Amino acid sequence: MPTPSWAPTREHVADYVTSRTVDTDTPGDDAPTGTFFEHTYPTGDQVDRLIASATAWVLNVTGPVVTDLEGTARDAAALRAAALVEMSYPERDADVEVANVLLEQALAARTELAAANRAAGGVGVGTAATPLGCFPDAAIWTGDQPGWTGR
Amino acid sequence: MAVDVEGALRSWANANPTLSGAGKPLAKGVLLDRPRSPGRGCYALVAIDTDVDGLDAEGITSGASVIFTVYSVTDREASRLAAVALVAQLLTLSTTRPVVGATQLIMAAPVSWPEFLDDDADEHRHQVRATVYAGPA
Repeated sequence: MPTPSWAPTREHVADYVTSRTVDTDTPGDDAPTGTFFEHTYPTGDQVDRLIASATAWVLNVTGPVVTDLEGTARDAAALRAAALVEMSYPERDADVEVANVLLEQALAARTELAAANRAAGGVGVGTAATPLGCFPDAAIWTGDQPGWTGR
Repeated sequence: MAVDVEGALRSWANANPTLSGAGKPLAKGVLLDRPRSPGRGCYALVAIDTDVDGLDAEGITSGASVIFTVYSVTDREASRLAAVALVAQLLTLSTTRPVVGATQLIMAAPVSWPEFLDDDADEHRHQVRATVYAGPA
């Protein structure tokens, strides 16, 4: 699946978890940098993978997003990626609580986005595949040999 | 003339290549407050417990009873090793007498052995107490 143009950047994700953008290798420095890179925890590469996951998480429900809602889609994916940062790379117990709050916000944002996208003419995609039909009931096998009763 | 012992200790520790920086025992160095994101390395907070009388000798004008609290988010052994490294470096002050800005750190004595703080905090901690003497550079 190609990455949509609205996919969040590292900086978009950092906006929601600025505390995680501190250079962990510089002694005495506690100033947030506003992005993720090789000296943050998680690193920039690790956050890139979380962004890809979060973007797919949005797309799987919304389908292609209409142009007017791309900013909203970016926010929803950034919230989800920020939650994954806190949940997948926790440093303190409180980080998991932060993650849970962000996960709820991301889910609400995606739900609203999907509805708005459908209303704006976008192609909606359900959270689960809708069955188009089903196989008939299986016949009772009576066996290959005469006298076999299928018991 | 009184000098800033706390600030000098922090600057000295953070510039100490044996102690602080990537891959070193106290990677994140010494701070005044718990850092927002310590990563996987250790860090220490420094605080003056009480001022002690300076000695009228060898340029000492200020003395302070200092508490270092060494933190590790990963494991207890990491904070212990970082605390031991901190003790070892504090004990070198009397021979190296580093100048940090307008302050010269002159000696640390006595220096306690690291004490594990056994509580339910979400970070492993060891505490080191030291009496540090300093004077103007």
